[in-house]
Amino acid sequence: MKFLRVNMTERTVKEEEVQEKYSKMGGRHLTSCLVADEVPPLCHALGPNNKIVIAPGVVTGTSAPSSGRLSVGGKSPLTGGIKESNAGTPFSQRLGRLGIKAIIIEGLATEGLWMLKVDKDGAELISAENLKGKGMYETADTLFKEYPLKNSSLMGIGPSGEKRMAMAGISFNDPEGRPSRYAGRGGLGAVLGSKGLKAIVVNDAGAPGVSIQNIDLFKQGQKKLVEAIRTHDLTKPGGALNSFGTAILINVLNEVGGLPTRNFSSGQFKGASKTSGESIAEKVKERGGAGMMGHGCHPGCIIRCSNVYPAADGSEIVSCVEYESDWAFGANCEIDDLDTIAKLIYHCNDIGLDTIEAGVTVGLAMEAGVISFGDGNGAIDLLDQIRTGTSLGHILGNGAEFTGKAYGLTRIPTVKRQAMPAYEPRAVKGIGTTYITSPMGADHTAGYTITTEILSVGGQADPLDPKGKVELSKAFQTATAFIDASGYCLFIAFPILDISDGMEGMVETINGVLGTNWTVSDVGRIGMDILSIENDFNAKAGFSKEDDRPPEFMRYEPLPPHNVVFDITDEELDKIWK
Amino acid sequence: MITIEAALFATLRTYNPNGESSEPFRVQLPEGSTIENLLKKLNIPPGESKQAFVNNRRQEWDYILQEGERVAIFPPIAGG
Ligand code: SF4
Repeated sequence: MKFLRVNMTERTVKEEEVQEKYSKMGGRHLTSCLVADEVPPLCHALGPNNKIVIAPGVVTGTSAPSSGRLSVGGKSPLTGGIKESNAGTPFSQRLGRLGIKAIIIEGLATEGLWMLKVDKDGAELISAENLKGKGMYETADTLFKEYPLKNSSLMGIGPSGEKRMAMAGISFNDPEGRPSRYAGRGGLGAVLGSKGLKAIVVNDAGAPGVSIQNIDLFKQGQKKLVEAIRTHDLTKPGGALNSFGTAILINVLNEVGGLPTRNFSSGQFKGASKTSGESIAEKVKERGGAGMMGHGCHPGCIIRCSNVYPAADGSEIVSCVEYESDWAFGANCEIDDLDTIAKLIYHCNDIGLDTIEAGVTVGLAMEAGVISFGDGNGAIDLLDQIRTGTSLGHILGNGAEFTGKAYGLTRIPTVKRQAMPAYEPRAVKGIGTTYITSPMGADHTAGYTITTEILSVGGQADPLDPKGKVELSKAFQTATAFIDASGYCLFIAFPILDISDGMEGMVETINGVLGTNWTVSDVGRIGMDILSIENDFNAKAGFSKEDDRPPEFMRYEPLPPHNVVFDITDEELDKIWK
Repeated sequence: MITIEAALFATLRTYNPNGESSEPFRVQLPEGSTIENLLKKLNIPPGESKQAFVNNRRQEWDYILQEGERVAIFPPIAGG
């Protein structure tokens, strides 16, 4: 196992042995720990002292199911705090198989645009001037011609990252080579842009594979986990995620009045059902062609929640229309046409944007009257302005809070300057608590209480009731931090919350790889360690409890249809990390 | 008799009496009917539905329906 340290100032790449301290870490645990150890919390996120750390999870690259995830860490130019952004992609599996525990990118290139080439023999920086200003689809086309998909995977930034915009994400390829899997949140694409690194290509031909300390234990765990995923209603083949994708949530959130609509001014959208997972599945069936449900973001995912969305003539518009992106441009911007939403997602993938931040920002531009709500073509034009870098494009490209301020708005749905995802905090209070207290800023994946509040999986909680939500969010946040370190997709949480054998299996696969003796009770402890590292970094970066607060309007503006405000008190919120 | 509005989602759409759809439809039921009675009337086999929401709030299967209420029924679903 090794680290690759890439210094952009000196244009050097070094292999380093992994110190004992980091040897049992992967994914988010490793990125957050390295960032905390090596990045000065008060540094400028786009300056020479910030770093980007890319780390596959502990079991990533093995045959464990749905485990092709990786974490990207750094100081966020959007939030100003620590960031871990996560994606599922074959890129992570190749890193794992090459025995690369992390790539650490530091310094700033004084000139030029570069890409990093990694294979079993080492790594080198080569010029990427030919890719300057190129969208991710053209970048992927160009690179996969030279480095065929069979053995290679790609990470890259679009024009928004090159322009150092705070909503720029980092793109990774899916199994078919689309640059559509994003570590989107927190603007880490801008950090790569500041460093002058356009892309990384990883080739794992002849790679040694992930070293597994106890293969029998690993296999035993793998079997239990596969069994749990294959039998649970939500994750089994033909189950909810596989048949309808994550946008199956649109209708249920709308039904409970928790689907943020028209820039967080209502919890219900008249056009919801036209943008639902059911409608996506219907369109895919009707139109045929390139369309498919049950697409996987990496080989070895047995849940396969992704899709390929086709145009009326069967040609591909984009992969994939998932819940958050669908909502961000759908209900949030009151656009009820799936084809338009799919096009907007395509533009985001190409320009290199976080779809959540982009959709919420467009919603704010609509509220400001730059374009009207529901104006799909106007929204495409705004994204184009981000791509080309007009003055308006630079305002929008810096995210929701920046845009809201530029237009003097008060209804700005952000926490720690990061845009809220697709669940209304006033109507679903546990997820609101996660948005508010997560060291990442408003992030649903950080502690997905929707599981019990809306889906009745792993227990049941009333979404409108403020009681017990701080504890609920904390429990989810700690377990999530552990899963984000493991390399597993967060969606294995659904089966393992209900099937205890599956939970055990997950821990056994990790013990198998690492040679540890962790038990299910270590999950919370390790998760808490990770969160403490992150909270500590944020404190040193200048965050205090006053940053763990909802946007003020959610305290006084009642949200229809329940006409409720966010009523978990500041004192309650402050208890979470005590 | 009471009239309620029902809507069926995801895999349950096939039980929509007007053809597979998540469009809402009206159902007449004897007074005092529960959500469970409604499921039976719509021929939804026990075990296929996971949750029901009445006027935007989750309710138990023995909830007694009132005139004009909207009932949304879901199978197990997930996302994120
Ligand atoms: S369930 Fe979906 S997001 Fe998770 S690994 Fe599989 S395809 Fe990717």
